[in-house]
Amino acid sequence: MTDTDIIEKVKNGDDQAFEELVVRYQNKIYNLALRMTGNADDAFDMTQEAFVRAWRGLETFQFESSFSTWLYRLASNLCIDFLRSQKRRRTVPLVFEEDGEEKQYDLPDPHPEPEAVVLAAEEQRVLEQALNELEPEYRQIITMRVIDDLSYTQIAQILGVKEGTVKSRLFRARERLRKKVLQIGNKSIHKSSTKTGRRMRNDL
Amino acid sequence: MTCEEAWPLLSGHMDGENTPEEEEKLRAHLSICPACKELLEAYEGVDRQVAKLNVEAPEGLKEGVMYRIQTQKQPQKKKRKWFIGPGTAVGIVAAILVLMVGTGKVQVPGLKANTADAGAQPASQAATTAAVIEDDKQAQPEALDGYNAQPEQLLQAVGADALLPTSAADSPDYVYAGEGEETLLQGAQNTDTGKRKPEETEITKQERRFCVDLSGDNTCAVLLLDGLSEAFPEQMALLEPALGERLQDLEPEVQDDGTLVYETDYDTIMAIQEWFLLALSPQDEEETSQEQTTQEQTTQGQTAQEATEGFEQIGWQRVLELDPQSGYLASVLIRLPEELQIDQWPEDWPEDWNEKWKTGDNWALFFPEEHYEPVDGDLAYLVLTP
Repeated sequence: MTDTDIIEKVKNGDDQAFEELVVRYQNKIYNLALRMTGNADDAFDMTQEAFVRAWRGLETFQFESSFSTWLYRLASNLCIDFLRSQKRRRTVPLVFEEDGEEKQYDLPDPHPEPEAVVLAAEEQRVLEQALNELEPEYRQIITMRVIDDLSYTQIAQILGVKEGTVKSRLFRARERLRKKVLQIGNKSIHKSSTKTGRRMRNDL
Repeated sequence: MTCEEAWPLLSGHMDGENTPEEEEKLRAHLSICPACKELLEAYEGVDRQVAKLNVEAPEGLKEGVMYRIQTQKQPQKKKRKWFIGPGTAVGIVAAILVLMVGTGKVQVPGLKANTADAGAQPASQAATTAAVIEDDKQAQPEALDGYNAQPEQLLQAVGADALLPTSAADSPDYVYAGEGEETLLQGAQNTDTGKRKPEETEITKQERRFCVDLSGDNTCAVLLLDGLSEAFPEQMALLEPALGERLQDLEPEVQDDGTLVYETDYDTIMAIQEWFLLALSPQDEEETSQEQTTQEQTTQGQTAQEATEGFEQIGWQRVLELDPQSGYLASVLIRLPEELQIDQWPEDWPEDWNEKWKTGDNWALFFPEEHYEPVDGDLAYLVLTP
């Protein structure tokens, strides 16, 4: 049964049919919410909220886009909304140019620094922290592409941008993430180093 | 290929989204550039780590959703902040339109009344016409549902349809912003989208945005221009210096359909609207892009600061809609104070009003004298053709 079939059923009064849509998309939506909110409880609430609003909106849903695109867009906006009310630590303008000149922090060095050696056990923690510290728009697009496995076309539709923008934004997001991982990872290294451990810990 | 050109392609390569030409160029570059090769490996490593973060949705999620759905008998529709109020104020608007046209100060191409003899109409005649319209409005058997009515309907209801374009060729293609089939001027139930342009180009619905200010207590709502940064990067470059900081702090309210509504102060609204006028209007031949990039003050417009002075007094509400194809302004809505009587309206418009504010093929913007008291009123609008 396609999404459209299910939606028709729901529109005709079969609310229970909506559950199948939830089952189909809850993983992807939850993963997005988890990355964006940073914790499981908020992600849980956010995901539920997205589906409930989607159900409410079905009444006027006209299939201008696919249901999944629309649902995803709804969830994305909810997450962005949530982030803005929770945290005020943005240091970049809300609207940032993609096609114009690039901003300094987005560019990789011509000579990339040597890979830091990160203890295996720390890898995931460092990565999650790095992701959490990433700007929301970058975090969002990385999650959509790498975790939720959405295509450029899908992402472009959800975000309402051109595919070229998706490609360049993903590049910037990955670069930013790479830098953050190194930055945080280096701190970890210094923390665990026996020689300079105590001193570095104080410095951090 | 330079490294800079290669970098986005690294992403494309990882995602399998490069064209064959891009892949070939990238491969050639990587074979001679160890730095980029290292970068690619680093990105791939990080990606692998990120992909591991994939989790399953927890237990109880879908049950929670279904529970909430089933316990809600009536879905609640969020009241949109920009819906048109009861049609009572429309009579005033129409009268204002007539008056304006009658005094010959309005130059709005496309409107039938904008003719050479417009200036010859004495103010009193215009006032009479206006008064007649007022009376007609009161004679209406039932008030139009302003929330659901089309602009033409409301104007017609008060006998002001003479102001609408006459020929089919001129008939407006209204642009309605918002998600899906919902439109600004129509209610949620109305699925008729009016005369929307059939093809949409690169500018998708998400990129159509509009500003609404709902002053009355000096708070305004703005629907943000997120998508516009991709569609109009040059224009957004104008906006950002002026408003970057202000936009940063806005907290959106999320509507049911996913649209974001922002509230901000009047100054910001005015600045954004100023930007609309300056940055997104069709260019005259004389204008160069150089002029365009000079901040808010141009040869034709005022600064946002100057612009706000007149408006603060009266509490204007204004909605600007963008044409989805060109990105230009398609229509302007204005809200007038309910109690503003015809005879309160200035007999003489500012002489240079149309020099102070830019007029385009499809829009015009004007403002009242400073001495009017701000009062709350219903939404009304001036309809201009795209």
